[in-house]
Amino acid sequence: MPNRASAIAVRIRALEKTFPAARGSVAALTRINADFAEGQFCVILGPSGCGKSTLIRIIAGLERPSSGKVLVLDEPVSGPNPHCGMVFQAYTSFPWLTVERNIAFGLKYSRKYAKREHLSRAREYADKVGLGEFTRSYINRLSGGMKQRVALASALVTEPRILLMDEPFGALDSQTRILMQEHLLELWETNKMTVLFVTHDIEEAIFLADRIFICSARPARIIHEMNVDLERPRTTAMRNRAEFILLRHHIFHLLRDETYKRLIEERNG
Amino acid sequence: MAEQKRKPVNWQLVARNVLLGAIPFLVLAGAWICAVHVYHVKPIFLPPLEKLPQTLVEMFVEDKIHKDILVSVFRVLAGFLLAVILATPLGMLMGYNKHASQTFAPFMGFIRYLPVPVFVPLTLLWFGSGDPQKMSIIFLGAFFQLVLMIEDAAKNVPPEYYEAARMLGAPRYDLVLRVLLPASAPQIFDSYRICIGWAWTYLVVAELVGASNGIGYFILRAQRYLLVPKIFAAMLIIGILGLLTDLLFIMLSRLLFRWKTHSR
Repeated sequence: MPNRASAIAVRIRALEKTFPAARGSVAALTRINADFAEGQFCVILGPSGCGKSTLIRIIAGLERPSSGKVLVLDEPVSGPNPHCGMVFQAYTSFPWLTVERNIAFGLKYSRKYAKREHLSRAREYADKVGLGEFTRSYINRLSGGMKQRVALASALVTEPRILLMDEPFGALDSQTRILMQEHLLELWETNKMTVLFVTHDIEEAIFLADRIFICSARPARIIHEMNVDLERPRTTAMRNRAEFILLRHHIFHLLRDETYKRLIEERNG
Repeated sequence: MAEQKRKPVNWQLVARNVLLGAIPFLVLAGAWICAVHVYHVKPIFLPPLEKLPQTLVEMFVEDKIHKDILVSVFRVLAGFLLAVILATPLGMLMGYNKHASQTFAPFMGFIRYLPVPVFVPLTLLWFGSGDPQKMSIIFLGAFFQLVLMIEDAAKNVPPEYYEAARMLGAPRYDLVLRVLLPASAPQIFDSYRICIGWAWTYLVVAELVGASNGIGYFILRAQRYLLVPKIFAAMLIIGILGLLTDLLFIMLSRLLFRWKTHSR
C-alpha cells in the first residue's frame, strides 16, 4: 500500500497535556509528535499509567489538549466526531438494551442509513463479530469477551474511517484476549481502516501492529517508532518465530531502560 | 439461548421464602398470646390476639373502615405522585449537572432535616383541614427526600456510558433520554418504593391532627374511647397495605427492568 501510506489520518504536533492536581499540576503528555498513516494498524505501547489513554482520549475528542495541535483527517479536533469509532477498556455497552439495540445505537446519528435498515444492519454486524445467536440477549448475560464484541460491532456499524481502541482487551483473561486479537485482525483485513490501538502488552502490540509507537513513563513522550514487518494475515504460529521474539526482547529493553531512567531521575530529584 | 426463555416457577423455593418470611410474624403472635394468657397483661394495654378477626369484621361492617382506607390511600397516592412528578426531573438534573446540584442541594438538605410534623400547623393555616392539607404534608415529607435520592441515582450512572454514547454520535441533549434515564431508572424506582413507605407514616401524622376521616383519624378516635382492639386492628390494616404496596413495586420493577434481573 505505498500510495495509501502517504495519507495521514491523525497528525499530532507539540501536544502537551497537564491535569490540575492538589498542588499545582501533573503532566500526562509532553512534546508528542506523531503521524498515524491512513489504513495502518498503529499501536501505542507504553507502561501502565503513562498517559497513553489520555492521548487516545484527546484524539477521540473526549479530552482537550493543554496545548499543541491534533488533526483528524486534516480537521482540528473539537469534540467526538463521526469519523472516529471507539472501544473502551471498561464494558461500555448499555445493559438496558439488547445486543442488536446496542449495535444499532449509533446508526440513528449517522445519516447514511434509513431507519428501517437499522436493526437488520445491526444484526448483520452482530453476525460479523460472532454474536448472531445473541441478538436479543441483554448485555448482563454475556461474558467479558462477548461484551467487547458488542462494543466492537457498535463502533464499526457506522463504518468510521478511524477506530480508536483504548486497551480494549485489558480486562479479559489471556486466552480470550488472544482470540479477540485474532478476531480483530480478521475484521480489519476486510476493510483496512486506520486503527489506533493502545496497550501495555508488548506481545499484543507486535502481533497486531503495522507500526508501533513506544511511549515513555509519565509524562508520556513517544520515544521510539518502529515498523513490524511480519507478513499478513498474522497467525498464532508467528508468535514463536525468531523475529517476533527478538522484537519482543528489543522492545522490552527499551521500555525497561526508560523505566530505570525515570526511577533514577526521581531519586535524584 | 437465542431467545430468553422464562424459567418455570420453582414452587418449592417460593414456599420456603414465604415460610421464612412468616417466622417473625409467628414469633410476634406467640409473644402476644403469651403476654395475654401467661402473664395476664390487662386487655386495656394488650387485647387478646384472638379478638382481632372479630374486631376487624366489626370495623368493616359498623365503622365502614374501608371508606377511611380509601380516603387515606387517595391522600397518599395524590401527595406522593405530585412529589414524584416534581422530584424526578429535578433530582435527575441535579445528578447530571454539577451546577444544578450546587444550587439546590444545600436548600434540599436544609428542608429535609425539618421534621415533617413541623409543617402541620403551618399547612393547617394555609390549606385548612381538608385533603389538600394532608397531601401537602405527604408532599413535603416525600419531595425533599426523593430529590436527593434521585440525584444520587443519577450520579451513580457510570461516566463511561456517556462517553460511549458520545463516541457513537449522540449529541449532549440526547444523553438524558437515551443514557441517564434508562441507566438510573431502576435505582430511581427503588427510591419510589422506599419513599412511599415514609409517605404512609406522614399521612398518619397528618391525620392525627385536625382530620375528620382517614385511618389515622380512626386510630385517634379509637384511642379517645379506649377501643384498644380497634387501634391494633387499624395498625394491622396499615401494615398490610404497606406490604402490598411493597410487593406491587417489586413486581413492577421486575417487569420494567427485565434487563436487570436477566443477569446470569
